[in-house]
Amino acid sequence: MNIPNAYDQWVYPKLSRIQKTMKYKFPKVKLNEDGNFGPTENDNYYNPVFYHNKTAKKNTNKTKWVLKKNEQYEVFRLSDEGKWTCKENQGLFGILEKGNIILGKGEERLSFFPKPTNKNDAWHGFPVHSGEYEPSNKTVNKWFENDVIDNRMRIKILKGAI
Amino acid sequence: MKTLKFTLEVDAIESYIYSGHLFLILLNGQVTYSPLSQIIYKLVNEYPKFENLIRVSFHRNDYLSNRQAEVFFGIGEMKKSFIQLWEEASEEMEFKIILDENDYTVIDEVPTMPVLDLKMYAMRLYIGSREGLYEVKLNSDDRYTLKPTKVKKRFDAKVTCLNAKFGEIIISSNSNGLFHGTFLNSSNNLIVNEESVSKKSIRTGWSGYDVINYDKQNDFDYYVNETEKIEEKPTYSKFDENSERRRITDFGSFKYDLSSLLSYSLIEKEQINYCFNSSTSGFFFMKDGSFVNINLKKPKDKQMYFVSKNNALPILKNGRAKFLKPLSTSIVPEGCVVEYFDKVVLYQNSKAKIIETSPSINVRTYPSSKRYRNLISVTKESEITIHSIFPFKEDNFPLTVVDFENNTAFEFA
Repeated sequence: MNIPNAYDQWVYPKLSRIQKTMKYKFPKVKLNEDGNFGPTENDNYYNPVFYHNKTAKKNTNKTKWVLKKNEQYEVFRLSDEGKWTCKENQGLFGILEKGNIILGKGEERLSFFPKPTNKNDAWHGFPVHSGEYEPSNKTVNKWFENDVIDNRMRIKILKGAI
Repeated sequence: MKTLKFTLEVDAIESYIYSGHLFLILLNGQVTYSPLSQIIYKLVNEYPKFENLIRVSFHRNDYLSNRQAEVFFGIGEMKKSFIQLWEEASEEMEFKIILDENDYTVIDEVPTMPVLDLKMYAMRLYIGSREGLYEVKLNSDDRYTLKPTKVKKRFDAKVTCLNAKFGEIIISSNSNGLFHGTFLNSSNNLIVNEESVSKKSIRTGWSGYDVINYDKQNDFDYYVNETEKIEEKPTYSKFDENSERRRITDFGSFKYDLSSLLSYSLIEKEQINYCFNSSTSGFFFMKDGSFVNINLKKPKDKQMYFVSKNNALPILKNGRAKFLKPLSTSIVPEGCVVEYFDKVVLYQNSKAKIIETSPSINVRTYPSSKRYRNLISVTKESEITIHSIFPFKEDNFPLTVVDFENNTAFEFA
C-alpha cells in the first residue's frame, strides 16, 4: 500500500490550493502525438519528463513541479520566447508572474530548462531554488529591465534566497 | 505581547542600526546615515506619555537587561506597570515619518547595485553587492563623531552574505565559494584571502568562534577556528559592541559535516527543508511541516553533536501554505525571526507572532548589540519598520501562532 507522507498529506494540498487562488490564466494546450508540447515561436518543443511531474514517485534527487504538464509548458514557452538564456548554466531560466506563483513542491519559484544535447530534441525542465541553480547576473538583469521581476525579487534571486 | 514599532518612509533597499545611527542604502545607490536620536526625538514628540518607554525600547535596550534593571524589575509592581504601559503603547502607537534628504548625511554611492548584504563591525561598514565587496571606515580618531571614508572595493566577486566577528570578515559568494579576510594588518584595510575555504556558500552563521557554512538551504559544514589573544584591539563602537578578547588565526582548522553532527539526534538529514543556527543550537524546518530547535553540545576535546531532544516550535498552520520555506532567518534574544515570502514572524516563548504581513526586502536583528539587541528592522519597498521586542520572558504558553493583523490565534498541542 502506498502511504502518503506528511508532506503529501499536509503541505502539498495547500500548495495546490494556493495555485488555484493565483489568477494566472494558463492557455489550454494539448500534447502532440510525439508526447511533446509546442512548438514555441522559436520552433522548440517541451517534454514534461515523468520524474519531475507532480505525480512522480518519491525521489529526493529530483525536484517536482506543482504545475500540470500543460502549465509547465507555459513556463517553458515564456522562457523560450523571452530568450531568458543563461550561458553559465547552459539553459533557460523560467519564472511566472514576477515569482508570485509557486512552481515546485519545495516552494520553488524559479525553473530551469537545460539546453538539449541535440538541437532538434524536445526540452525538459524542473523547478529550482536560486541558491542551488544560480541564474547569471545577465539573466537576472534582463528580467529586471523587462519588468519580469521587481527589485525585491531581483535581490532575493541574486542572494540565492528564493 | 505585541512589538512596539514605528515606520520610516524612505526609498531604501537596506537598513542597519549601528553605533547610534541608522545606516541606509537608498534605491539610487547612495550610502547614508541618520542619527537614531533625531528619529527617536520625533517619536517622543508624538507620544510624550511614552517617552521613557520609547527611549529604553528603541535606544537603550541595555537599561532593560543590566543588573540595575534586574533589581528594579524584581519589584513586582514595577514590572506590572511596565507591562501595562507596553500593552497600551503597542495598541496606540501608529507612527510614520517621512525621512528626506534633510534627515540624513550622504557618505558616497555604491558603484554596483543592487546591494545584497551589509555588515557593520569594529567601526567599519561592509557592503556586499553583485559585483564585489566594499569597505567604509566610519571613524579615524574618536568613537563618538562619525567621519566616514569613501567606499573602497576590497573583493571582486558577487557577495550574497556577510558576517564579521573576532577580527574576521566572512564572505559568502554562492558558487564562487566561501572566503574570509581581516583588516588586522599593517594596511588597516580589509584584505581578503583569495583562496576559497569552501566551493559553495549561500550564507553563514556563528557558533562561538566557529563558522557554519550553508552550501544549501538544508545542509551545512561546521568550520572550527583557531584563535589567539588580541594584542592590539580594533576600535569598537562604544554604543554597540563588547570589545573582543580573541581573534581568529586559523580559519577552518577542522570541519564537521551535518550528518556527523546529527548522529545522536532524532533528525534525519534528508528530511530537512531549511536550517539555520544560533550560537548554541540549530533550528530545523522539516519536510513534514514541523519546526524544531536542537541544542548543540561541544564537549571539550570530543566530537560535538546535536542532542537527541528536540524542542518543538510553533508552525504556521493557518491554511496558508506560503509559510513553508523561509527566505531569511535571524536570531533575537531567546528566539528567532523568520522572513517568509509575504510575512515576517517572531518566534519567542513558544509563540509565533506575525509581525509583518507584506513582502520584505530584508530583515535584520542585532542580538550582539548592547543598545539595540531587542530591535528588528524590516526594509520594504519605500519604507522601513523598526520593531522593539517585549524584553521579558512571557509566561509559558502552549505552542501558539498569533496574527495581530487579523486578531486571531492558533494553538497547537
